[in-house]
Amino acid sequence: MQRFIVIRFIHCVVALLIFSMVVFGLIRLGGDPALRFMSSDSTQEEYQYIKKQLGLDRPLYVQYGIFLTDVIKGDFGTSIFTKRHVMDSIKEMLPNSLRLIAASALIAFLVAIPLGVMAAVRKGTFVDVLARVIAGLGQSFPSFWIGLMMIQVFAVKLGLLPTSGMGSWRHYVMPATCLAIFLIPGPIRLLRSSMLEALDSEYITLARIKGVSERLVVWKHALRNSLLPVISFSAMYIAMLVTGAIVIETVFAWSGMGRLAYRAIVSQDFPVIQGVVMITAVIVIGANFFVDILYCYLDPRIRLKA
Amino acid sequence: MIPPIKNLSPLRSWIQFKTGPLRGFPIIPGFIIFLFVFTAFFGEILAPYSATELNLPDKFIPPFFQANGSMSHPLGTDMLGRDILSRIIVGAAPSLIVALTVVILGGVGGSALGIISGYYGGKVDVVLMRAADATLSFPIILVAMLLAVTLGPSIRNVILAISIIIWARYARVVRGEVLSVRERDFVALAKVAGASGPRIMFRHIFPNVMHTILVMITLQVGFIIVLEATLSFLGAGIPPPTPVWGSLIAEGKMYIAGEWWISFFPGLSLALVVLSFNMLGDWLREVLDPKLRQV
Amino acid sequence: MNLLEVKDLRTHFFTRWGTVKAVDGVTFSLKERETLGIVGESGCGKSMTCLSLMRLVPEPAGRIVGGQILLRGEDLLKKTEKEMRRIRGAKLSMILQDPMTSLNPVFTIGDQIKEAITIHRGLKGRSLWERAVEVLKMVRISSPEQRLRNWPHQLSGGMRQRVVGAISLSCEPGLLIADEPTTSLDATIQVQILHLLRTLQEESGLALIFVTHDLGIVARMCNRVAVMYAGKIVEMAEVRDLFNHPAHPYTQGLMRAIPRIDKKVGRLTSIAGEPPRLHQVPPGCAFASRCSSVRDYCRPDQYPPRFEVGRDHWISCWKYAKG
Repeated sequence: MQRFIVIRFIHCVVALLIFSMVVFGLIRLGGDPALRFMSSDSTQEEYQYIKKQLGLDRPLYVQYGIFLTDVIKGDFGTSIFTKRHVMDSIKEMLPNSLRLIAASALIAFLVAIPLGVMAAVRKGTFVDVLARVIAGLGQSFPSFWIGLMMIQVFAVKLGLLPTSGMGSWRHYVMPATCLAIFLIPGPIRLLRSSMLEALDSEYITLARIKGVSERLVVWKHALRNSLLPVISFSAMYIAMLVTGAIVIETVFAWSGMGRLAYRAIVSQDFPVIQGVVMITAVIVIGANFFVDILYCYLDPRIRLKA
Repeated sequence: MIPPIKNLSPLRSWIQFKTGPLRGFPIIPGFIIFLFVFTAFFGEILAPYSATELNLPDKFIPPFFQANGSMSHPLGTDMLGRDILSRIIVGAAPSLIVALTVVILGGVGGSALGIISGYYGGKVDVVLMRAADATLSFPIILVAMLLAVTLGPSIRNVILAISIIIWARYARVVRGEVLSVRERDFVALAKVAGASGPRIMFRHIFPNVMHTILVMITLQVGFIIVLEATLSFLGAGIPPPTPVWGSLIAEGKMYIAGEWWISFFPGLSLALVVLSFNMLGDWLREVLDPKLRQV
Repeated sequence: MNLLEVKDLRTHFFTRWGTVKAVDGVTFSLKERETLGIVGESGCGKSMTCLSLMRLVPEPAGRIVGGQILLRGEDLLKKTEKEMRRIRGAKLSMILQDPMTSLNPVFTIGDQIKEAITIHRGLKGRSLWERAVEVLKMVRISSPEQRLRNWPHQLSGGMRQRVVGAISLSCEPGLLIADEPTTSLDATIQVQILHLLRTLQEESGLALIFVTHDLGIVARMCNRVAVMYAGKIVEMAEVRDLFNHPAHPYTQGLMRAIPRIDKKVGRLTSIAGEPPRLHQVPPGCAFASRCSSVRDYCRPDQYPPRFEVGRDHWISCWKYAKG
């Protein structure tokens, strides 16, 4: 198990390094990198200063070295737009994003797991159809549009919830629900099909032969097995959560990383984008690392091999 | 052997053909898709008004069923007086172009890599699948945003970014199928007969995974369209003045309290088209998969 | 009174293509400590009969539609699901065919054995553990304390089957149904498992229903045999009688098909044709289309009733109709 953790950790570091190289390369591709850090009122002196900072007069690998050290230090420069240190903005906005993601993930779990299980157990009935309809619609309707429509209906027309921003628990309702709607379809479908497979297997029959109650057969014996594929897909779900969060934050003016990124795109604020992208990469890869470890722990067949 | 039990038909497929090989074909979704493709081709001619010309005196006209609306602008106009319906019609083409190109680049490319990976196994397989996993588990929207800022938003960048996301899915799924096809007898026979790797892959393996690829394509088109719309919504997709649906929704964002139709109708079109593709894909999967299992 | 009396058991499946009569009027009885063999081809209804006895027919597709299952006089078909759960594992139990998939991969052997014991005996803690070790010893597994901590994938097929046996017998049921327990095992392991079953039977006075398609095992293990075809029992006899005087044409066909080591046989005989699709079973004798002894008196519209052809030996065949 130890060895597995170490190997996986090395994979993560390698992945981050490769990604940083990709980012580095992209920056260089788009023309003079120094210009990226300039705004319309920068002076010639500032330009020269930046060039030196980036090491543009030195060989490429030195430039990459400078880039990498900056990233590790957390120094992404100053936002062209707000003139603040990028890292400061990130430190302020990141927790908000995490809160939104946590709330959505919670809602998603609470909805997807029971629905997925019941859809399999009561295959062909109303619950099953409902689950599949929700999955189908959730996958088809763009989350940002649903978000806007929700604002129209619940905030503007009905006045039940605030239109945007943060503040009270009420502000969480629509954004978290929207993001959850985006996330739910995948796990519902996967859980349903794994449950169907599990319920058909011999060990479930054996459990029934033993006299285990149907409730335990479903929720203990079958579910424990069916959750494994869902967990192994978590990497993809985490990516979806992050993607979705960026979009939802834009719709609901949620002061998180997504909003930061959006404003940066609109104003071509390169340092901010660079910072957001790198920090998000670290978080996502880190999260995947933990999920991998979790999966390895939960599946005895893998745990022993490791 | 006991034949399977009759399934209650899901609510989703509306009117269907009852019998024959096209049994269960979802007619309404099929029609919507046809409409979408047709509009993409003939958009410029169909649109009653220009999609891009400003017309400030006519701004904020509501859709025809509301007060002050009229049939001359059935879906209303936006903040610059442009006819929403026309913008939606003209915006269909770019979405379709992106989707098709991504399917070819990412889908076909990814499938080819999947076949190679599954067939040869070994180091090639490990490397390719690691790359695929890395791509799948990373929110590429970030890379798309980076591209948008460094290289500037353009239709080319969108296609590139989405293809990078898509290829991994195809590669993974196709590789899985190849792993089981590879073990079948006719492949061994071909090898014994002296067929080379590429020949086997093309003549024997590919036809047997074709149905999987086809189903994936139909199911993925919807996803690609939404992804493109999302990027456009964020400003990292196809740039103005092209009236892509994602951008239309973004434009209407700040008017959502009052002039809600600016975002609503583009989004509705998007939702309907994607839903139709998904339902078509579901039907295709039902038709192709069980049939092939019987063989 | 007999340990088990099954009377006219019917289990049907309701499918898009018609009603599949998987078990169609099965009647037999079983005494204490007796071993009854059920033989037949794949799809003849043997497994479904077993599942019906346990009332584990997969719903909603399938349902027991008629008959009686009297376990020590009590009709199992009249029990509620809750009552059945107390009976399953404790009064009657079953072992399944494929040991590789019979055990839940995410729970340890110990957990799975202990679960059965906890449900029916209510033991906890130390005494639960001790009982689990005892049960493993009963099925002759070495280092049982160690094994309790193992996971299923760490055990071989033969060991897994023993564990399944341990689980099923942990609460000392009076009746064990074994559905082709050795079919997926190697020949040498097969012998071990059969031997184990025999020993357990002697030690605990277990009655055994042994389902198989292997007549060799039947000869070795069973006191009485029922031959099934297309959902019905076509012949039932004591084992010696069945082998020496097979009366039903189907049984005769099966016997003829066994390769013999003592005689030189030019060509192995098989039974021509195929069993009928179970949703299209003809009303008359289901075997008629393949039977070499078919005659005019084999009425196509009525199923042949039972006829006694010897002591405790009956068949369903028109050949033996008197008058």
